[in-house]
Amino acid sequence: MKRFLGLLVALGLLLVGSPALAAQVQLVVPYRSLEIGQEGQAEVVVTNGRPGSIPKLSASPELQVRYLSQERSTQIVNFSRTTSISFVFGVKALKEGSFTVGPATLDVGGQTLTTNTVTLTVQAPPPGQVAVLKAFAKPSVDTAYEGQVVLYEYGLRSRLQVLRSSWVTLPLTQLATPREGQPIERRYSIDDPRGPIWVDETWQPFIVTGKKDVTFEPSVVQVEVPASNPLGRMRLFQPTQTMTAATEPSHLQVKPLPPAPPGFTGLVGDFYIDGKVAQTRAAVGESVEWSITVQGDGSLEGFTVPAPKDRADVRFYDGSPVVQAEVDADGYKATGKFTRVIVPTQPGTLQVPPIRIVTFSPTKGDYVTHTLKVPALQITPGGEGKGEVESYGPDGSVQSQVPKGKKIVDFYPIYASGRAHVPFVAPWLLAAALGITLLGGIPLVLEGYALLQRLRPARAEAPAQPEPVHRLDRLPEAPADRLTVLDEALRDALAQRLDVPPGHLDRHEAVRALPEALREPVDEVVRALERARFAGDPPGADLADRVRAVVRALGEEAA
Amino acid sequence: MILLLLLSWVAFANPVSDGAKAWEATRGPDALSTWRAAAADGVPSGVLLYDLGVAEYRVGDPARAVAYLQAARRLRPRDPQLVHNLARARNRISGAPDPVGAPAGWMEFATPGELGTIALLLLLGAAGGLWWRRLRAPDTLRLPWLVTGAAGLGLAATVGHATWDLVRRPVVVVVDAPATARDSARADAAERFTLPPGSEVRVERVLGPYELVVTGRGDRGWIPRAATLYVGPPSVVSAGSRASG
Repeated sequence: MKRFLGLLVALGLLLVGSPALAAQVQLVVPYRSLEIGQEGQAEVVVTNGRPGSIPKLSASPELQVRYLSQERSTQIVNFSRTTSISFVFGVKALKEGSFTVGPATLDVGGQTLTTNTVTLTVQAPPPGQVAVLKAFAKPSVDTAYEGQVVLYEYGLRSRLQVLRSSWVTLPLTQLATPREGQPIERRYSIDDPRGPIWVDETWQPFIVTGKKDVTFEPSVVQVEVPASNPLGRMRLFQPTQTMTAATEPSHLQVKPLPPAPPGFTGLVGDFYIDGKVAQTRAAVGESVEWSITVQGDGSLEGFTVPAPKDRADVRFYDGSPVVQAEVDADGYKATGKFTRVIVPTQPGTLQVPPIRIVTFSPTKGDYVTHTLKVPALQITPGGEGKGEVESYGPDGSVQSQVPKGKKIVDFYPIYASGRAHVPFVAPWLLAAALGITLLGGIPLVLEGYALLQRLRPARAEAPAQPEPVHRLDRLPEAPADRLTVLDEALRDALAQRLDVPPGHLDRHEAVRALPEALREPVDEVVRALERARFAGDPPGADLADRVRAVVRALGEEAA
Repeated sequence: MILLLLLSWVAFANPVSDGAKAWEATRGPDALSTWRAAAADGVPSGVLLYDLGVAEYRVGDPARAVAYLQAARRLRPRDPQLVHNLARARNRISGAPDPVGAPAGWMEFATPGELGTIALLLLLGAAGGLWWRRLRAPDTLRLPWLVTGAAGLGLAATVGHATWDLVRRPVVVVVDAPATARDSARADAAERFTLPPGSEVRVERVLGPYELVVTGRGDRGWIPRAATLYVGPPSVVSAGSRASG
C-alpha cells in the first residue's frame, strides 16, 4: 500500500512539478486547394495552454467556417509535460479565387494569442466524371539550385477509403535524403458534394546534389479499397478490391550555383542567423558562452561555424552542435544551435572579431553574408594574476595543484625502453574462455545426469494399478461412487483389450472393434452404465455382476 | 623453452631502444623509420606507438601523431603522459569534427586484455570450485560458483563484443591532406563534407579503394582509403591492404 501511495505521489509530482511551458497556438490546414462546394477541416492547436473559450477563426467571406469539435491530448517526455487541445473547424469553399483562412484569436490565461494564416486556392470543379482514384507526385518547386532542399510531394486522392497502399518508385538520381528531417505522412478527408475524398500524401525532403535537371519518372501505386459488394457490411471481413494508379512524370529544373565568394559555408537556403553572448564582463580564464542559432529551409548537414583566427588575448572552444529539422505544412525547416566558448587570456577590453557566414539564398539567387557581432567584453584580471594555478577543493578551500617551481610540461618525451610488439591474444583468450567454460560445465552435466538417474527408479517403483477385475472385488457403498468404479473398471478393461491408453479411448469405437461374440454384451453394459450414471436411470440389481462378467471376459480375451 | 624465449628477447636488438637512441642523436627520420618498420612487423605495443606519436608531433605532423597516440591509448589507457600528449596533439588540429569514441566506455581506463584476463580468472575459479565441490564437498552450496561463472561469462561476452566492434569498425585518422567525403564510393560522386588532416573517424564499410566513415557528430561519407592511417591490431575491414606508416 505504501509503495502504491509513493508511486501516486511521484506521479503527482511529475505531473504537477514539470516545468510550465509558454502557451503556443498554431493553425493547421493540411491542404492548400479546394473546389467550390468542398469542405475541409482546419485545426487550431493550443499547446501548453487552456483557452477560456472556443477560438474565433476568421476567414475570407468566400469561405464558410463552422466549429465542429475539439480533442485533448497529453504527452510526458523526459519529465516535460505537453498538453495540446485541438479545435476542429470545417472550411467550405463558396467561390472561385484565392482566399485566406485565419488568423484565429483566443484568450489563454488572460493573454490574447493569434495564430498564423493560410492561403487557400478555390477552383471550379472539373467538368465530366470524377476519377475514383488519382495518384499525384511532384516536387514542391519547379526550379531549384544545386544544394537546395526540395520537397517531393506524392500521394493519392480517392473517392473510396484506401485500406492499404503500396508504392513502386524508381530510384531517384542526383537527390540525397538529408540526415535530419523525416518525411511526413498526412491523411485527411475532404467533404465533396459528390462524395467524400480521402487524401493520403507524403512529403519527402531531398537535397539536390547534382547540377543537371531531374526528371521524376511515373510511380505506380497499388491500393486496396472496399469492394462495392452490397453484402459487404454484413460479412465478417470487409471484401476488398485492388486498384492501380500511376503518377504523371514531373520535372525539376536545376540551376548550378554561381561562382562562390570566399568563405562560402555550403549552406543553400534562406537562413536566419542570430548570436547571443551570455555576459559582457568576465575575468581572465572565465568562459563566456556565445550561442549561435541558424534557422532556415536548407540542410545544415556538415555545417560548422567558421573557425576564428588564433589570437594571443583570447582562446575559442566550440561545443557540440545540436541540429534538428522537420517537415511541416510550410516546408522544410532546419535549426542548428552552435556554441562557441570565449576564454579571455588577457585583461582589458576584448573585441572579438565578428563571424561572417556566407550562404546562398535561392529566393534572391545570390550569396548572402550574415555577420554576427559580439559587443566588446570587459575583462578583469581575475585569479590568474597571482601567478599560480589555483583550484578549489570540495569544501571551497583554495589549494594549489602545481607545486611552485615545477614546470608545466608541454609534451612528454619518448620512452627509451619497452617492448616493441605485443602478442595478438584475442583468439587465444576466446579459446581459453570456451575451454574453461566447458571444464566448469562438466560437473554440472554429471550432477544433472545423476539427478536423472535418481529420478528414474523412483518412477519405476510407483505403485501399479490393480487389474480392472480385481478393482470390482470391493465396491463402495455410495451408489454414485459405485457406478464410477464400475465405469472406470470397464473403461480400463476395454483399453487393455485394445492396447490403447485409457485417456484416448472412444468407448463406442472400442465396442465396435471387439469380436462379434463380445460386442453385444459389452455394448449393452456400456449403455446401461451410461444411462445409470448420466441419465439417472435405476442401475438395476445385477449391473455390478454384468460388469464383472464383461470385464472378466475382456481380460480373458486380452490374455 | 620459456627461458630460451626470454633470453632471445633480451639478447636481440629492441626497436624501441634503438629508435630512442637514434631519436636522441638526430631527432629525425632515422628513428621514425626504425619505429615504423617495427610497427609494420607485427602488432605494435603501446610504447612503440607512443614513441611514434611523439616523434611525429615533434617533426610537425600532428595528424599522424594523433593516429599513433590514439592507437597507443587502446593499449595503455591509464598512461597519464600518453593521455596528455594525445590531448595536446588534438589541440593542434583545427576544424576536425569531434573524435569518435571507443566502442565501450570501459576502454577509457582498461584494455580488453586486462578485462579478458579477469574474465578468465573468474571462469577458472568457477570451474575449479565446481570440481572441488564435486570431488571433496558435495554437501556445500553450488550457487557461489555458478554466480562466479556467470560473472566471468558476462565479462567475457562484454570484452568479446567490444573487441569485435573495435576490430570490425576500426578508428582511422585522416593524414597528409584533407579528405573529401562523398555520397558513394566513386570519385565523381557528390561531395558531402571535407575532413581536415587529424580527423578521427570510424570505418563502417570498405568498398574497393574507398571506405565509408562516420564522424563524431554522425556525418557519413565515402573517403579514399589512401587518405587515412590505421594503426593497431589486425582489423577486419582493413586487413592486409593498409600501409602502417
